[in-house]
Amino acid sequence: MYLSTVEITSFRSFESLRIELQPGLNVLVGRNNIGKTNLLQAIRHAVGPSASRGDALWLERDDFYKDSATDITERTITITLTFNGLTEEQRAYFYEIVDFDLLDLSKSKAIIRFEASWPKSKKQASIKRTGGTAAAEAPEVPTKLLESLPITFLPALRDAEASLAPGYRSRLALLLRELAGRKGGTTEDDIKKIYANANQSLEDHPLIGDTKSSLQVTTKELAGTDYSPSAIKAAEVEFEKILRSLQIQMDGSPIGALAANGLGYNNLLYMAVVLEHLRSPDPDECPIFLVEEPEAHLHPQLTMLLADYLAKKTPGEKTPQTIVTTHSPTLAASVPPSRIHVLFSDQMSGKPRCNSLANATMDEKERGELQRMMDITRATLYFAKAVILVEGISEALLVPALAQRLGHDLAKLHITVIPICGVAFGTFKKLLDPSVFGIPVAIVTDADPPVSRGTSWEQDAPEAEGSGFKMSDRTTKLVDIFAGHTTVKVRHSQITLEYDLAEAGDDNAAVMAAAWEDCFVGTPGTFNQTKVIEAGNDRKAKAMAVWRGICRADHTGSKAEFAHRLAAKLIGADGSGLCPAFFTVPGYLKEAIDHVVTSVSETASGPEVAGA
Amino acid sequence: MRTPTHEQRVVIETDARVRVVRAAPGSGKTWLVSEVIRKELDTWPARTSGIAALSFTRVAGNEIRKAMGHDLGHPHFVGTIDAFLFRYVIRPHLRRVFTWFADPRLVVGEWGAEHWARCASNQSTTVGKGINLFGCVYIGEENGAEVIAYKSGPTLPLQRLTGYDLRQVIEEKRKIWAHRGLLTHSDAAFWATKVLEDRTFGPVVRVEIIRRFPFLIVDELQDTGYFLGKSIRLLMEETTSSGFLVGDPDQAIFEFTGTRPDLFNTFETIAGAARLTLARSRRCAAAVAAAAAHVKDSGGAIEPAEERVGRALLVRYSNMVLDVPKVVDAVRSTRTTTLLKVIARATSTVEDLTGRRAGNTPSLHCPPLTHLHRAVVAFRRSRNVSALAAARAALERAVFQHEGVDDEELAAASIDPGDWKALAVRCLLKADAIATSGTSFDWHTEVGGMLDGEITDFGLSPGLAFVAGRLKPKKHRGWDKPCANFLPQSMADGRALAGVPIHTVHGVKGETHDVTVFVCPKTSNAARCPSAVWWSTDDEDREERRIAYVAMTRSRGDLIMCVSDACYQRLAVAHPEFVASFECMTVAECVIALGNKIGTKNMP
Repeated sequence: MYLSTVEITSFRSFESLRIELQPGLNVLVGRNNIGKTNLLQAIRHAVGPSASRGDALWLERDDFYKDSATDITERTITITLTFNGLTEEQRAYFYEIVDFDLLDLSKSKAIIRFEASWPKSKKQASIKRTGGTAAAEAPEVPTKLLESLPITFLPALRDAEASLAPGYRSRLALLLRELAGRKGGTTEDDIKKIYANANQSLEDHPLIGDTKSSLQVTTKELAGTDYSPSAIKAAEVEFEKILRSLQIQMDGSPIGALAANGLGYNNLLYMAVVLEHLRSPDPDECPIFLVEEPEAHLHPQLTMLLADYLAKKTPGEKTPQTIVTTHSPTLAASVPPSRIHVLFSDQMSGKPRCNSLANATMDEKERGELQRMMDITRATLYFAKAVILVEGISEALLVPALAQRLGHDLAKLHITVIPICGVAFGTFKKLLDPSVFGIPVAIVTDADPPVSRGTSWEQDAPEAEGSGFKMSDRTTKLVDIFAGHTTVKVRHSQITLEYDLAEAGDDNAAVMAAAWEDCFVGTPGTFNQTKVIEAGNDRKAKAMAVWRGICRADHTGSKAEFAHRLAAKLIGADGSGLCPAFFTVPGYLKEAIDHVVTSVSETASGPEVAGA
Repeated sequence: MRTPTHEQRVVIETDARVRVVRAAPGSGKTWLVSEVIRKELDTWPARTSGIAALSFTRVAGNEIRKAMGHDLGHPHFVGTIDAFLFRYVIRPHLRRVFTWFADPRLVVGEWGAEHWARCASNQSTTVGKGINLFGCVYIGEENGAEVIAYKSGPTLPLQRLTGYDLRQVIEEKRKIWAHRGLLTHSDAAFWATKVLEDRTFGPVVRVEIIRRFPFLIVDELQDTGYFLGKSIRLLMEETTSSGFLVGDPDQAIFEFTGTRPDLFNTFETIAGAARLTLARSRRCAAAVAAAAAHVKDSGGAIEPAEERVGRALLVRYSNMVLDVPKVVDAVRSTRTTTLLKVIARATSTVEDLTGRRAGNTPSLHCPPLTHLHRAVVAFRRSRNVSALAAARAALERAVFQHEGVDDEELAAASIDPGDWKALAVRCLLKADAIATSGTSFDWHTEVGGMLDGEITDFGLSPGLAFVAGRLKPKKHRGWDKPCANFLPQSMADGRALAGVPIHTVHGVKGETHDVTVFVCPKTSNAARCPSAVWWSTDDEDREERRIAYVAMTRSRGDLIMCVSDACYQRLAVAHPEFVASFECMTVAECVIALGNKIGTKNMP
């Protein structure tokens, strides 16, 4: 049995939200303030305090959704949790909240509906948790059932040290108590006996015995014989107190050394204890583990190991369902894409939406390709408002600079430029479907027309078609793949980035030549200022000189370095973008930049327009 | 810990899948049930399934809890059979099997469904000659069709519906189910059976329920109606189930709900069922057991509790209202620590004895006030649920111009259901507090003013048609009669006879007293005298016999049965052996006897 769907209305930032989850690990990614924590808190509220392990749980007036700061509408929060995959025993145990499918019992679901309202005149919220088939007068879910859905919550600002240290909050004591209960038999008595024997030996020690006698004499002299003689006793043997006195630590470290550990290590220890606690739940329990930012204080390699552990070890009947929220591309890149759920702002409504990559209907091959493709850099797309996917590092360096010349700071707009280091844009098609991850995306690529080779690179020429150039089959196919796509636009050059950059304006080729020359100690032979002058005033001829000199000729220069130096020139020395050089942004890049910038701006103003 | 008797040990240790136990009054049934539960729990194998301990009344469920010493929490269930079937059959499965049904909702007593004129703005609850659909009960099956009966008055017997009336009731009920999903307890039992015996889905549902509750305990089996019984039987026929069914067909006294004592036999024919008996009473002394055996429906004797000491007295009175308190006073004055109760067959007798009898409500042509009058009458008769229902009906009539206003309609009028209920309670209490010294018209006028004020203060939304000042009675027939004639004495005047609790027999079912005073009222109709009714072979009269049996087997000490002189004479002629089983005396003789040696001083 696992939590398969969460449906939320009017809770915190969510007017309405639905998310589908899977057994085992679920990784929830998204930008700051999009509502990842709210989603976890919604799950906790739905099951309630009796199932909650972790921070206290209170419903506040601020937990009710508001359309705007002045919105005074009285709303009802509803949170519906649906659990799938019930075994026969679970169908029996959770009977009161099961929505039976009598034609196929294995499709029966357990449902919990949380409803909260808080009229202005009332001091307290009215909260109701019902279950099973939707009915007008459904009864409250029995507390015992809610307790059987224990939720362990590790908040982002968890205090691992305090939770591991001996004392009232000791997580280790909680684990040991439960394990002792499961072991049953004489476990508890055995441990108490060890303590009692130690206490007895302590009391029998001459130091204690002599001090006791001496104290008794003093007390008698002081108070007379009316009082009972004084005694020295070891602490009472209480199982709970014994457990609370134990501490987890690195082997060989002195007790109380937790503070000496790094925050990251303590966090790992803490999670290990919690995971151990959840490893083998009771047969009538369906534990859920909610972790905010498990990567907190971990270096990337440790984050990758943790992600691997959570992804591979947690699935299965006997292990808990885990939902983690993260801002870490490292973690997002380290788990299979099918485990990722993206929380993002819907382009149309501007409201938060959550989609699961598992719903992208990818076959095994496509999933494999996407996972290979999703390295740490590319995984940043999960956290962006919009993305420009480009072929390589040259575009990745130049596009932000060109955008800046157009007056857009992509970083401030939360638009990420991601080089895919190749041309396999098709791999992202299903991921970028509006039903999966529908953020605005511009794909920037080259037309890469076939080249008629001359006797030397200076005679090489792209194949013409009509008044332009013939497009490569690869680019044609890519355009077809995303034709009619509502959020993804493909924009391509006429030939290559370099040709189109040069061809876009009268001065572009000269600026590019200066940047190219900067890459060499002497003057490069294949392309330089002279070549630009020789090409005359014809932009196309100048662009052809750039293409031949940089893209076709044999040289020792690096296109990446060239892009880097050109970008530096374009944004000016102070990074203001007010470069003295005249440089016109090519049309296809302008269109690509405009597409994502406009979409993001529209999304940002969406709710205000609706509100107005 | 109590040691079980030989009979009880046999019942506990019998290894049959289903144990059906006939238990005589006071044979330790409740203790036995808790013992069986305790034994099962000791070796209960699973955490995901539980025991369902079911009974006909809530009281029995509470007794099981009390005997267990703690509540049986999830995954176990302790409660009424009605609640069990609604929760585990109707709510999760009814709409899956019968898709035309609206969301099923149980018509709870608080809403006083029998008083509803409409269950929605355009749907009447009354068909034909004033048959209230919510007052109809399913009492059995005949030739594959359900048998429905109707009670046209509180004191009248169930009448079987036939022909046009029957068709119309079925048709109208179906409309209510399809549109509103409203089910009475009887409807719910009927539909639970339909789900459980459905050819396609029935087996699946039965298996799912038995997986959750592999062990079913049913107490008070004799009070289980036809369809409740059939549901239990269907579940018990699952070979993976096991059950412990216990009751006493001689104590079946809820026939007005469709209960039939002969249904008991059908449980004993379940495959794998063992028929067991607890014949020995641990409650009744020899004299009391001998007297009660004369009205034992199934015949035979009651094995008395040998250790008990008690006498059976037959006291003849000439004036019930004057004489019975003398008897009660005498017992009370000499036995201050004994648990003494006065019981009578009918509420009217209880009211006569406590002076709370009131005549029929005069109609002064203002329905809200008539309802509120009915509410106060019910309240003073300790029927709080009916009282609240009538008070709500009064408010609904006044504000919505119709009855049966549900939460939806209240919400549409921006009324919080909780506030609405609180208003009903407030109006009821205020009406109860209004003096009854004037005429009926005076009382109604004052109540009308109060109701007007309360509704106005409540603050209704402007869309409602309520106009203050219209709640006034008309001077219709009987308006000038003293109000006290139509209202029983206030609750504050006491609900006891000479300081001793007084109840109907139905109200003390399952109880044990040290001394029971059983009062049979005087009747001028010889055919309705206990001397005739208790020995009649007529089905309805047989229930009267069982009620007498229940009444006479409550005491673990003395039984004092009070009958009129005329009744005594008839009994002496028609059933001398019955009379001979008592010590017979007049009220005066009884008072002297009580002052001397009668009582429970020898009781353990």
